[in-house]
Amino acid sequence: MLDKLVVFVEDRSISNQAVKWTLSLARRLGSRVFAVYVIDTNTMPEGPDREKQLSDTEENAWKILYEIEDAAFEQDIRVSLLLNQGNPLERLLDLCTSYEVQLLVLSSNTGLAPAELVKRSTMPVVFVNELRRCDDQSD
Amino acid sequence: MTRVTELLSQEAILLHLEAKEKIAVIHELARPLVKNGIVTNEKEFFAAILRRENLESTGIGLGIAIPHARTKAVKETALAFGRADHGVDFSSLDGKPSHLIFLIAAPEDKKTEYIMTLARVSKLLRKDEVKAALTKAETPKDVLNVLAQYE
Repeated sequence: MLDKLVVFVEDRSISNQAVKWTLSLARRLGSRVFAVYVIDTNTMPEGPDREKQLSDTEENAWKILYEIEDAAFEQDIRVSLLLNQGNPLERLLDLCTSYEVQLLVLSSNTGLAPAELVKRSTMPVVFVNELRRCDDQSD
Repeated sequence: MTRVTELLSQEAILLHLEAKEKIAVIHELARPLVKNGIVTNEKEFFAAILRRENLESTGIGLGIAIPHARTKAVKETALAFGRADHGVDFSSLDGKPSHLIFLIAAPEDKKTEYIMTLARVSKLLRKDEVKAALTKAETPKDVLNVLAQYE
């Protein structure tokens, strides 16, 4: 059974199809979705603008997450929103372990290192091709 | 975007929530919005709120809950804020009770404003200094000042 799915959320232009595919799968299986966004604080520049940049990034991340929640709600899909900061790959793997998820979904355009992720993940990992329509029922 | 402080009136700030249980707390918070005519159909508004709460908790952890609904039963986007010193079980992912609770009500056709408001409130409430200041606020005006300062 795939009771718990994690979708790694990045900017809309990156992970749109991965999110759609995950919601579509969750609807069919009755799974719970954890939508995870990790703000990469290591790549943020030091200096006076850092706090503002972090604040703007966080607000934008919440916007993307709540749009996912709204879409899930319309389809009666359970979704939990998780916003974290730090090293995205480390935080993502930690969260997957903490919540005992059974499938991890990412975009094929992810900013994470796919080989390292697959090597270290304890659960199956699905990469969704962002160039292909994934919202049809044949997926 | 409309500022959070413009969506929250002093009458909708309850610094000593009496209710102890999640649904009763949401009812208590919604009362001012019903009274001032922002929620035009209490029954329909609650149906929307409960549908979401039954699907997934709106407790976002760290002692915060943001119950919310976008429905025809709301005339314009508005907030209510409540503080529960005793803590309320919102079934948050971190298992901790919620002490700071924001209720967000929005009209069905105001999706962008609704999402933006949710994002803004979530961001504000995760700041330790905002949480500490809201916890210490003694009057509704203090709450508005805190939000205005950090927004």
